[in-house]
Amino acid sequence: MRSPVGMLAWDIWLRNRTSIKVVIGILLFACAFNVVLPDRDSRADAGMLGFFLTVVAMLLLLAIFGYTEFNPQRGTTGFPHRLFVLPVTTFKLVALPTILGVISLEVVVLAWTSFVLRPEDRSIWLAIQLAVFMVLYQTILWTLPGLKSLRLLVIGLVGFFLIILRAFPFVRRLPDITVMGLLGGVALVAFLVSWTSVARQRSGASWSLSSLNRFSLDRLRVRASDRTLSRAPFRSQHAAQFWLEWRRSGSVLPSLTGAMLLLVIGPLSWFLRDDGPGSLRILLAVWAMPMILALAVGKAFSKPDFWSKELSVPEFIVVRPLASADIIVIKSLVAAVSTAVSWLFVFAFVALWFPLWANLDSLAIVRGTLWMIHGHSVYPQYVMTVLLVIAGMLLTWRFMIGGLWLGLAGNPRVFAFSAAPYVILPLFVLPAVLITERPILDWIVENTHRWLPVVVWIAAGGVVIKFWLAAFSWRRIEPHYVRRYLPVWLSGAACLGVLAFMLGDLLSLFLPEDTYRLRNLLILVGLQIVPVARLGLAPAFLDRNRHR
Amino acid sequence: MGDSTEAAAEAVVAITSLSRRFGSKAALNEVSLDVPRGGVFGLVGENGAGKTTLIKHILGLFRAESGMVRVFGSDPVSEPVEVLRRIGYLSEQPDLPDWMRVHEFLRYTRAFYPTWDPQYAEQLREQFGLDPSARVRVLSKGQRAKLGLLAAQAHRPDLLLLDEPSSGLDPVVRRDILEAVIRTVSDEGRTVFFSSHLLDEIERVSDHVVMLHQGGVVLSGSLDQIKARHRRITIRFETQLSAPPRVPGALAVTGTGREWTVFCDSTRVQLPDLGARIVNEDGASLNEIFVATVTGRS
Repeated sequence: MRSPVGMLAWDIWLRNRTSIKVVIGILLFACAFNVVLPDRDSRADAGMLGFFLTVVAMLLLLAIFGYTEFNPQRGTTGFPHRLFVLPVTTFKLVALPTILGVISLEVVVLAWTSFVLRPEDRSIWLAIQLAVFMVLYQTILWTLPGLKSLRLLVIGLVGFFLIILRAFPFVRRLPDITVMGLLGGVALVAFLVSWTSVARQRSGASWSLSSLNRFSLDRLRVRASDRTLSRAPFRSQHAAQFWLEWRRSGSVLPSLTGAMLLLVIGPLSWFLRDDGPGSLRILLAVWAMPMILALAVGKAFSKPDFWSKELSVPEFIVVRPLASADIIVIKSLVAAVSTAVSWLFVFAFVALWFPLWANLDSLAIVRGTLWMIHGHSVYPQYVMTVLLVIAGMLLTWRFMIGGLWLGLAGNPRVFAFSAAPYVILPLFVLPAVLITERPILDWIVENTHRWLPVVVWIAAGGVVIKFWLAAFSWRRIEPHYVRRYLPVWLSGAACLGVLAFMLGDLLSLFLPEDTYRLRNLLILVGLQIVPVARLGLAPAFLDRNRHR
Repeated sequence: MGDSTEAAAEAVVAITSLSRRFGSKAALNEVSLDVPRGGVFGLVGENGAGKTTLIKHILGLFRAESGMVRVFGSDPVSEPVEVLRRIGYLSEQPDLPDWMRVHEFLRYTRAFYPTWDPQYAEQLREQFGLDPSARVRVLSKGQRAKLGLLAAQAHRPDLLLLDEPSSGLDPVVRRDILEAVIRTVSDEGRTVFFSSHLLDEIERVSDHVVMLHQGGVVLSGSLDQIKARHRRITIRFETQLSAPPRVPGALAVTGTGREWTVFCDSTRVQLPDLGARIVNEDGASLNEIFVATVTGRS
């Protein structure tokens, strides 16, 4: 550990040990997967979970080996300037994170291909493309600090290009070894560019491809700055707070949705364009994605400041003359706009995907089934599609704001406790369901008469508690808020009620024993989705946080 | 009694028997004070005396465990909007949104205060030399303090609350802050509540002073009265003393050998016959009064 390189590696470990532990945890999980799911069919069923965990591990590695820090003198984020004063050559400074990044990524890929993927799906190309991507990714981050967040766009384009590279006809014609050599050459050149650029930054020169920065961005920035400087004042304090919330947290969900569609779902749908069932699964994934993302984003959104580890309200907000109820209303509105924009991306993707490269065979089978259930009429399908989209939007919004009362309360223990399901569900419940999928499903179908009445009563009790809490919590809320929110709740609950009614018909195919109770259960669940009580509680909890 | 009720009604801030504990530590202990309208109210005390806790109660960021806080006659906890709209606040390390640009921060802040004066804000921005397109995170400590001060002042608040605003800042920024204090009080009826370690600053601008020690008020009154009341007496003995002489009622006795300085409250203390002669007697500075009071009580 006395060597400078050892110290640098130690520094990387110290700064990112939590993320590294998570990556190691994911790798161990993948190994465990291999042990508990030895047969290929069950591994294939669990492939999606393995895929998502691998994506998480890779994103964490990219975050770790992005290896950038903020430089207050230049106001940019790039290669850590604090390292320039160390008695270490620039080559070592640059080579170490590059080599460690590539090795780490390869370990994750190896674990995934060995433990999760089926043998026929394994390919050396993924390992090569990811290694090259890591080097290019670091080069972009270190050499173009002036581009700031626009670098993400460049990185996205580079990644997309690498994914589709082998689809180009002229690349297909080349022998594999030549393509591999070319990719290796690109990585080497990228590394040399990084090395030179960091060396120049270290000697105080401002090259770092920053002639490009100066040439374009500074001018753009000055123009943008001129434009924003002359902006009219906000028309109200609510508008100002909305702007702040949107800038801080509202744009995260749409950005993630857009990125997932562009970088993951889009390429995946292209590769599976001939696979009918695959397309249906992707459609389901597209529908569920904003909700799944909202589950995670909503946790951070519920905090007083999205990006802060602190749960107390930032001082510059807390001293503003704005009522707690107004802050909740504004957060709810930001979540609504965020949801709407995310779903717009989904609609745009589906509008491109369906006519251009989707395989709709499986969808036609589903439509045929629905057509038969609903008395040979196509209209219920359209109604159900619209209601499913509305339900998806409502659920996305609910996941964004459902935890406001907990996050804004400012109690770290309660907040950590509320996050427990996010750990327990993917790590324990989901694998358990995947491992014992058939027995659980069989038991559910065979024992409907046992569990359904109990669950219906539990759901009914939940509805009673929800409305009692709602009545209790909304007592202190000013009437004009009640008048504004009531129509929203009524319309949402009505849509979900109708959808539950229609889904009851569909599910009765699988659980024919007690259609009436099943429908009641779905309606009761629908009534619980649109938040009332927790929204009513949120201002009081925020008040406790503001006035400790 | 009638006078004090009237004064409390006139007071911008009225605090009665305020106590606050953090775990086993009493941060504030039965604090009562009235901040009159107009003028500068200085709050002094050593680290951990409870100054910031007191200011946070005035802002409504802390709820009174016992006692009562009224600002402009309202409870800052139950009516925060009405109270905060009339307050400008700057803390030692202003919590500013690092990701915003200067002009964005000012545009955001402006929206909350109907009385925001854009010309005045622009004048202050130019005076402070703040680049409107600069990100807050690249500002130096002094520039951050200036930006915080600008945001606290531009809506011409009825009460300007400054919590150790100039700690660790260079003389130029400190001068700007003092000028802000003077500018605020030059507007008729406005009040400044100013806590600081730098007692010479408090002494230069304050009309009233409250001294906190271990969560309690140990000294309170107009600055002139406090200074007139406290004396610094230098005495000389014929022989060298190895320990400070015992002076009943003195706040503190410092010195070595033959010459000793006694700090005392002239209304309460008479120098006994110690066998020493008085060499010098004059008024004590606020700094000396503060040190004598705090060390005397410790």
